[in-house]
Amino acid sequence: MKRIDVKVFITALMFGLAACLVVFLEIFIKLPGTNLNTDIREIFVLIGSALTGPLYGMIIGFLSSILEPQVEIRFYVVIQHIFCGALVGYLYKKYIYEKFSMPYFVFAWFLLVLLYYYLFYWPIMVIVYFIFPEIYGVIIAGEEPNLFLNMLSFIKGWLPEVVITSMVTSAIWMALPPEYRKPLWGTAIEKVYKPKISRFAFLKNNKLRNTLTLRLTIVFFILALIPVLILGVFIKDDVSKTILNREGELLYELAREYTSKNTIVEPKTYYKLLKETQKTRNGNLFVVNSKGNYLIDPIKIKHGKNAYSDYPNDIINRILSQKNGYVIDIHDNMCYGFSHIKMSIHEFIIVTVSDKNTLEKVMGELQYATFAKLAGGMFLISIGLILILWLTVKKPLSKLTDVLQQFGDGNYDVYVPNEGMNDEMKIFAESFNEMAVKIKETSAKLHGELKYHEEAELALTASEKKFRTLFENLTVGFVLYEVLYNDKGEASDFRYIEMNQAYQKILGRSTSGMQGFTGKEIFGEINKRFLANLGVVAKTHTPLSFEYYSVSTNKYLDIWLFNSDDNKVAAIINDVTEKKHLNQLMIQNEKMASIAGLAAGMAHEINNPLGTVVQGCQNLIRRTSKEISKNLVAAEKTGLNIDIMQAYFRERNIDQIIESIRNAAEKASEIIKNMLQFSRKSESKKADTDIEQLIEETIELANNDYNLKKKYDFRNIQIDREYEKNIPKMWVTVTEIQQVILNILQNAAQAMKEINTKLPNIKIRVKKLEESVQIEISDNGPGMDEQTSKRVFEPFFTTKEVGEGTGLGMSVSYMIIKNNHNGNIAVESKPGIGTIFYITLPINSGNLS
Amino acid sequence: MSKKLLIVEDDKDLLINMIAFFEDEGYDCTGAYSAEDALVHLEDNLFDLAIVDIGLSHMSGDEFISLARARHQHLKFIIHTGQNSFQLSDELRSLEIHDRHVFRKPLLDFTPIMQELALLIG
Repeated sequence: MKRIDVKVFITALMFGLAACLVVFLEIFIKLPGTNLNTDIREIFVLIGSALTGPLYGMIIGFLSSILEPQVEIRFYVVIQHIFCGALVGYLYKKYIYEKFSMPYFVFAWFLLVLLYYYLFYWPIMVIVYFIFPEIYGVIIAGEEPNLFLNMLSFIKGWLPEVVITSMVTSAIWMALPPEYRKPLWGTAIEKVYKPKISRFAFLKNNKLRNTLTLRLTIVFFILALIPVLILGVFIKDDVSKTILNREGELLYELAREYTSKNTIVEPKTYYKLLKETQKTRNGNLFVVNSKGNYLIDPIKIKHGKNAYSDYPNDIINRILSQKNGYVIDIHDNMCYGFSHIKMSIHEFIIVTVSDKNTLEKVMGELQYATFAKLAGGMFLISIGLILILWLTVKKPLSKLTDVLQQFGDGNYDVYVPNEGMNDEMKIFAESFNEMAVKIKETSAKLHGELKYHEEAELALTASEKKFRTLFENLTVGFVLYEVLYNDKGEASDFRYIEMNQAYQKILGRSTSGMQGFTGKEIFGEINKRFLANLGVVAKTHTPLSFEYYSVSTNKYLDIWLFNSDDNKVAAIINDVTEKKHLNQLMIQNEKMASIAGLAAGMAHEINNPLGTVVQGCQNLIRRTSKEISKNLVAAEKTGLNIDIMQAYFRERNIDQIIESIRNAAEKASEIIKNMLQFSRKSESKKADTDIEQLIEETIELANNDYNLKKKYDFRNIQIDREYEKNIPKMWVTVTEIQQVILNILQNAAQAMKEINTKLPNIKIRVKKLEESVQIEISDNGPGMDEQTSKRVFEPFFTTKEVGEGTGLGMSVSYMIIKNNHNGNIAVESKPGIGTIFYITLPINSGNLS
Repeated sequence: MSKKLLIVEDDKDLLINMIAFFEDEGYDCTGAYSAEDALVHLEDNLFDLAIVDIGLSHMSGDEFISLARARHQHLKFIIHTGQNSFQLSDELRSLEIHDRHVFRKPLLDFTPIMQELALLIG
């Protein structure tokens, strides 16, 4: 138990003491039509216990019955009340209050009151019946001791009290504001207001609309009934008294008539007369002497000798002492008129008795008439009250309800008309209207805001979609990593959070299902430099960009890392492999262009001296021969024998020396001629050419090449051809392209010869690409290492022995394809496998040039 | 009477050899180291044909050809050049000089020039 709540304790004490006081002051209300007195203390016990709970209910029960007037049964009454207090306290909260609804409450409360009255009294009666018979006698108050019948009698006897008490207490409950109906004990029960699904749905249900009026009407009736009942009790007594007194006066008059108007002085004669009179009075007359002994017996009742044995003693005493007058017996609804006459020693006291039946009938009629008037009045008053209530509360309330209903439906333009309203209703209506205006304003504002937010949300969704599309369609790879650390706090791994399509392309493998996995789980090993950079960006929150060569994909990547969120690092990855190759190619182009420029300048300067050397040699040979007439003239003039001179030249090999000078000059001249091709613009002898035919002619050239034949016969090489159909005619300079192809064929043949390839094979493929035609020439020769293949197109680069090649063949080919034809030439080679040359010529090159 | 040749060549060594060759072939040869010198020779003598180098210092070979032809309508020309980028201009073509009259240095043998010479001036 919690500590005693002072508030609850004081409440219980007040209720208990009030009940105690009621008993002490013997405040009873006799129930109309019965002999039972209402026990007002029960009302206090019931309500007090209900509010304060079982524990305090017991205290209230105890206090209420401790001053029980029937001392003999006080102990049992106390026990009964203690139990009842506890019972009401417990049941009210558990079964009545929490499930509050008007009809349920009234009915349940009535049942509770029934239990209160009967539940504990019966066992007590049973116990008392068997163990304490003398006390049982007190309880049944003079009835025949029969347990069953007594109990029935109790049920019957107490039923009106139960009903009355239940009604009164119910009315009190109804009249109390709801917060005062709340039990004060135990855990406070908060009635939480739960809005229904549609807050205004209940307003549309017309059946429920009159509930308030109906309830108030019932309460008014019940409340009106209480004063009617209470008044009725008082009225009944008043009516009885009035009638009895009037009847008493009449009876006295009658009795006096019999005595004062009497002229007979003879007692015997008078006795006879009285006897006669008794007959006319239907026997409602008897005569006693001063001691109360009957002189003339009452007829109607079974009587004894003495009036004391038949009538209440105090009545007889009053008659005998007063001698003249009347007396009323309010408990028995009887009245007696009496008058006395003295005749010598005889004293006659004539008593006229009211006719009980007639009197009670009259009384009842009068009581009913009065009660009916009273009740009718009260009814009219309550009707009036209901009418007033209807007009002042219900009607404006209906208006308000209608407005609220429309308001609830979203029509904010309604207002409560306040004509014909006054008081609080008017204030209420005005307050509502004011509130409605404010709600309207707020609603409009909110509506605007909502619209704004909706638009913002739409915009946000659109933006999200836009960025998602952008993210997915981004040509650069995008990855979001979560950086993972080892014990030392160094970045040791990463976890994939998100990546786009482009990243998948860069990675060269599907990325689906990679989310959530770590780099080590996927790749096994991660580049340390990459990890270190991830760690730096995650820690310093500074973006970082670096170039990175990925071994697994054989790609050059430009990576830009930036910190996105705590431990997350976003990466933008750009595949620059192509660009890098292109760059290298450009560098090579530049290099070759500069060499070409240099060569052109040099060639010009060397040509003249070379020409001199060559011409000099020719002139030397010519001027020592006999074929030139001038030589013979000069010889004769100088006395020289040309034949002897020629013999001497042969003897000394001078002719050969001159020839060797000429050969050397010729070689130099050849180099210069090749070099000049770099800078010489194409002579624009381009024509629409069938590439297939061009290649076939070139192969024929190779077959017949005398220089080639000297060392190796091209015919020994197996030539495979794969020409795609529908190759368009190409706008090229035939001799140049032939030169390029021949060059490649010669190199291939030479290389294959060098290592004596067993089944020398050259494959020539021609295929159409999107906007170009590709000639692919592959051999199964020795191939080249990367270092060599990179330098193939470099001028003066040769692997051949000094003197065998000029080292310009491939670079001239390069210039022919690149510069003269806007095409491309590339080489792919693997040592031990072979070499492939790719020549790509643009289809529309003719139009361009 | 032998035909008269004017050889314009700024390389002295080459000029000596050229004169030696064409004299041996029976032509009457006059050498000039520059276009200006050649023009002086043209003032004094009549020539049948001029073998002209293009890449001369000062006045270039083609300029010389234009001037020379202006003075001697009958003069024929053979071009002997070391400039590998040389192309016949329309002006030169209009002077009846054709691709076959253009020889590029170094010539291993002067026989082709001889043949053209024979065709032009007999």
